Amino acid sequence: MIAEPALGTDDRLQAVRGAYQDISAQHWTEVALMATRDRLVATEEEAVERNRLTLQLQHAIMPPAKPPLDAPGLDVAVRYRPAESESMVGGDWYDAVVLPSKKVLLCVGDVAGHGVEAATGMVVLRNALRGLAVTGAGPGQLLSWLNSVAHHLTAQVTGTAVCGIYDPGTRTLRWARAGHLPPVLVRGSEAADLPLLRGMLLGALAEAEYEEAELRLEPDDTVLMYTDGLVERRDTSVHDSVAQLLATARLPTDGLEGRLDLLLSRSKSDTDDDTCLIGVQVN
Amino acid sequence: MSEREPNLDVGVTIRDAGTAVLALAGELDMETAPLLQDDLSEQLRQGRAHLVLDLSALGFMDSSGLNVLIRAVHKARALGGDVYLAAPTSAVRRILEITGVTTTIPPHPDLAAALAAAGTR
Repeated sequence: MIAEPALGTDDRLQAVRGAYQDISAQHWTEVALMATRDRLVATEEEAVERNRLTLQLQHAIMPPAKPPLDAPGLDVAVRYRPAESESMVGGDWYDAVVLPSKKVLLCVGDVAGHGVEAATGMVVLRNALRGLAVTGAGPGQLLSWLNSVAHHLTAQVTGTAVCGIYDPGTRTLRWARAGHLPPVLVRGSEAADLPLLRGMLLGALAEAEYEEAELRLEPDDTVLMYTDGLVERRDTSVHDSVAQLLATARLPTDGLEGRLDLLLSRSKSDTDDDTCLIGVQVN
Repeated sequence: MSEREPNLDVGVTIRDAGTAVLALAGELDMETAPLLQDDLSEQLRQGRAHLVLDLSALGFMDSSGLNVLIRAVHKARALGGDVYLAAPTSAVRRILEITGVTTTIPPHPDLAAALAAAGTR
């Protein structure tokens, strides 16, 4: 409100002129705006907290690197690289464990989606596969069971996985794949991806069968399993991305750990997906 | 990534009471998959359970996109229909092959073949 005196010709006060505006509506709008801002800050803080917990959960289950495995005749190395953006934390997983039979379970997998749901699905599948593998079944059968787990025991989880059982006694790797890129074999200065065996992604069908193959490894052979965070690019076909990966895998390196580091650092992915990489070398 | 604009166009053509053609152009990924999901759900809700997806202009598909396809197949088949894929680009075809989706939803070389499979012409 503003007001000013209006003086007459004799300089005496004749009237008071004024104008006023009802600004209570504006005031209440500002109050409401402030409350909304406070809520927004709280929501953002919640989202940050949720992402942090997801990342923590994933680290607890799958450390970014792993202590050496007590597998005779086999070096095992793993790398896990979370997505850079915390909200993109996904459902990638690896596992490398010596079974009661002294055979070694090797796998990587990728649950579709991101965030807490994908991380939860990942935990279910990873632990289920560990448990199922104790039965001594082959990788094809294991993936078939894992498909049932994904289809019936989770809420619409789909995912992909590659699963291998290595027998140190015979140096053979039996493997199967469920909608996942096949492993890569590095032998001397050569690197090639293994064939695209029949195998549907996990969780899509009530029942699925998985073709199995066997690979006899020679001393110094390296087998790599990886998730598509390592190769996925929007501007390059998967075929070309894998070709680039194979070119990197052919480069001479100082041991298995060095090879995995090189593959990660040369990774051309542009989708900010998380990445799992597992390498085994016959020693 | 969230800072990028969603890059997917879905052109819907109603062929007959039970069939819709959805022409996808762009990229089917985590950002855009919900758009397609909504369009597919809407067609199913309208009673069109034969869903033909023209993939000839789709350059990229990730696991979120695959999930939408798989869910649509389950729903469509439960309603007596199906999902038919037409003319995937080599990049998308490769993804369908790697994930084994081609075994349950075999892609058709072109739209005419997909429409024939869906029982319309």
